[in-house]
Amino acid sequence: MKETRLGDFEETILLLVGILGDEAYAFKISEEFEAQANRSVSIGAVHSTLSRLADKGFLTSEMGKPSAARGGRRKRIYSITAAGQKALVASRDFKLSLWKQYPGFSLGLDVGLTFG
Amino acid sequence: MTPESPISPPRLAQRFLEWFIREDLAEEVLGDLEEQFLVVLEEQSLVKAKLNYWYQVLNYLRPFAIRAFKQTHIMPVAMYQHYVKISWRNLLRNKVYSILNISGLAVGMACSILIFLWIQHELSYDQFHPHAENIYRLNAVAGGGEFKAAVSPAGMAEGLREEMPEIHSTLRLGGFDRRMAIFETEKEKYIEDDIFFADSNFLQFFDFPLIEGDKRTALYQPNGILLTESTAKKYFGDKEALGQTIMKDNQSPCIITGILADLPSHSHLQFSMILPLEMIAQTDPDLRNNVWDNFGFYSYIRFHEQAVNSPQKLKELVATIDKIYLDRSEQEIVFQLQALTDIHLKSEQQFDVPGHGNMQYVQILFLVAIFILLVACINFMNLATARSAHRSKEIGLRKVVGAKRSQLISQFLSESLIVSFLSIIIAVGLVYVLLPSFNDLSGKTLSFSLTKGPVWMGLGIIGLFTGLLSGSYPALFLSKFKPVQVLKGKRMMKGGNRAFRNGLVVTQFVVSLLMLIGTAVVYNQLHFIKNKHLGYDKSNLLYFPLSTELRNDKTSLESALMQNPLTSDFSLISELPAHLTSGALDLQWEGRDPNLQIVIPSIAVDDHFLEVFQIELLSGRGFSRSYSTDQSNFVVNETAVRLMGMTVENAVGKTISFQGQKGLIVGVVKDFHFKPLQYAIEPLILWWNKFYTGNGYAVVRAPARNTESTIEALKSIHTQLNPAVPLLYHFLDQDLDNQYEGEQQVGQICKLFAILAIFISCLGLYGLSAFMAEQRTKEIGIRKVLGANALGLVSLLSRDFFKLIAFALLLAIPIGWLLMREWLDGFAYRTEVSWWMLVGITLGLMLIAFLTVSHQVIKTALTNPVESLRSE
Repeated sequence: MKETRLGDFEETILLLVGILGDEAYAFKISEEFEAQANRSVSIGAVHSTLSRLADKGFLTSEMGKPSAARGGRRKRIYSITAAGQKALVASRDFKLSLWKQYPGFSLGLDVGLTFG
Repeated sequence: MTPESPISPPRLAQRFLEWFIREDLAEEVLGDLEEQFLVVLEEQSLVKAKLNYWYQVLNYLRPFAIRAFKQTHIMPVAMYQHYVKISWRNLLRNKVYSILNISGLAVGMACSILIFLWIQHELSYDQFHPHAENIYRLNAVAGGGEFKAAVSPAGMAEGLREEMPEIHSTLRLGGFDRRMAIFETEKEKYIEDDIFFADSNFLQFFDFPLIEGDKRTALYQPNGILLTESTAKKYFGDKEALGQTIMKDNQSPCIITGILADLPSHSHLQFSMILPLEMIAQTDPDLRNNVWDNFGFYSYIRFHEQAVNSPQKLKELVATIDKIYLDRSEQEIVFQLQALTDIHLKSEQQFDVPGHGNMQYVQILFLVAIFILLVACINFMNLATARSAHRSKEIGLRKVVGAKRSQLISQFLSESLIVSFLSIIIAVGLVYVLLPSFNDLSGKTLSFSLTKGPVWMGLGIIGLFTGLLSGSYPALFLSKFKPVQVLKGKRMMKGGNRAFRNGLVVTQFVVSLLMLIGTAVVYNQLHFIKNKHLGYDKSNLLYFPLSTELRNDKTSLESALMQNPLTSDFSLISELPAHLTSGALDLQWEGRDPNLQIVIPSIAVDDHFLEVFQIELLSGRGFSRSYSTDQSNFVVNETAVRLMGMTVENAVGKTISFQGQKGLIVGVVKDFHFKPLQYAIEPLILWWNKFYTGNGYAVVRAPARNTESTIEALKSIHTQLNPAVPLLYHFLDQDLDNQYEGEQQVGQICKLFAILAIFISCLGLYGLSAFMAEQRTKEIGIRKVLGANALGLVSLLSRDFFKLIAFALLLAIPIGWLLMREWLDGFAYRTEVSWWMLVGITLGLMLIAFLTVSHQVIKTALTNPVESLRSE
């Protein structure tokens, strides 16, 4: 059976794909990750995760338009599938329920929720 | 920014990435990394950017991104030795099978090599002239494209050269009415009927090497002639021929100024001697007046390099020629420039040199060659797949010990390549043995020599082609076996495999059948042509050409012939009605459409013509000496009557004019054939030969069963009137048969190869039946134990094969029928593809197939069941 659980890094990447929308391709995603997480990552690592997510059926991709900045090469744009959405929601809900059970942090969680 | 710009990612890193990255990822990854590179470059430094690029590249060394590398082997040599050894053992182990296989392939290859030699020869005509691509022949077209002739007027070549700067040089060949001459050495007389008169620059224009003599001066003496080497040998033996004098036609001495090497067989010009046109310049009216209105010469034009560099340019040149001609003449004639190298295969010109090829036949034979190879390859494939069961264990075991599929494929391919190259060696031997008979059959002088480079290449290509083609299916199919199933003992005889094999057998027989049907139709058509009634009686017609002496004294000839009862049935005519070529544009009648362009053939005849040829008169009368005006009157055929809008009844008595001569139609004859049967009957004008000045022929109808004595009588008459020259007689019906020589040769070649294709197919069938019988030994044993009789078993075993052959027949017969109707449509007079022929072929093939299969089948059916069931 295919592995369909989400790892932590995978979840982050999946979210970033959602955030970036039409600009979700390996280089942009890693750039965005570095900007948001303040942590460096290689494009190869991101790409490998992306392809794993695609294998799991959470992402689909298609080739975009060529652009001059890339030496006339096309980029692969990823987008989240329904299964990907579902997995994200399930993961969030699962963590939420854990946070709810965590003593003394429910307030913080509520605050966190408003950000979400 | 493009990768070529000065600031670009490090080349080495990029190359490394390109080397290991999966192909489908390369584009996006390279793009992403370049974008990253540019960003870093902008924000930081070039060095940083480059370092970062390397870092990113190395970070792509992840399983998902790396392409699947083929495992490379360290010692393929040992492996190949192993392949060869195993192939050899396999060949030895199944001797019958190997012999069937190799002999089938070898015969097939030998056939295709022979055919390719033939094709190559046909295609190579006149290529040996160094400027062949710049040389064209000037052809005339009249009658709005209806009438094409290879000839042009005497004055034209020179006239064009003066006006057209594109022309490098020109050459004329002429004197066609004097192509026959008698030459006399001190000892002997020889008749040559294939001499050419040529312009003096002949040796500069064409590249026929001169063995002796000076190329620059050889043809520049008015009486200096060139002999080919074999002609010189014939005349002078081993003695020096150069500088000798021989007497031409008893009157003019000629000095031999050059000896030409014997002509290559792929030259469209074939001759024994070249004489300078200068020699006849004073006596030939065309040459004397440099005429532009009588078409009596082959004119070759050599253009400057690059002058004809496009089809467009060629058209322009032709237009210029047409214009120049129009300024000089009133006749409505246009011209064509025919490339020298096209003359042999693509010519449909009247008055052309004899012995033409035909592009259609080249194409047909090319297909035949490919078909035969295909049939032979199919044999191999069939036998190999049929035997796959025997080898499945070997394959299973190989796989278990770690053989890859690609290795198995290369093993089987090398096996088939070994077989195909073994076959090539045998095929080459066969070609050497068969070439002389093939030359007889095809009327060529092909040679085959292994010392030429292209021959090796050709053989290599044939070997590779057959090896790979015939090995491809077994290789792909056998290597697919799953080891577990195979080793468990499961038979690998799936339905798909059998269907494929059956398909192959059907293809094989369809191809062979098509060739057989084709051959049968060609033969039938040839038979039809030879036996078609031509409208006159062609049997026992002897003819001989009139030499100068006889021509000048027709009256003595006539009275001499008349006196002998054996020869009294004679007629003097200008041209034989076998392949009439002459024609004129200027037939005039009342009510003629002035725009009509039509070339009307004509024969100058005498008063005996109709009786001698036994041509039926429909109305009026033939020429007669009792009417003095008949010398300017005409007899026409039915088609001519129709053309002029008259009827057979009312045509007689009408006035027409032809060749500038005005006269009455005195008779109408029934249509008869005066050209080969590819042509429909055209209008024909017969006129009195009193004014005819050309060579002409005397035709004599020998009394039945008295041919020998008639020839004797003719000889004595001839010696009496023209002692200088021996009599040169021919039979008209033989000449008529020879007209279809091309068809006949192709028919014979096709017959041979159709039989061989059937033979090869039967080899395959035999192998297959042997295999099938072997496979079903046990089944047959059990059936026999249970009471099946031999007859029932034979029908059981052969049923499958007959189904295949019946299916092949169903496919081949309609295809063959359609194709051959197409071919027959090329003849104006043709047979139909007849049903009895198809039935005959069907029955014949069934019989052959039965004989092939029966040996194995009967053997199996008669085996004592104890033998087959004893061991298990």
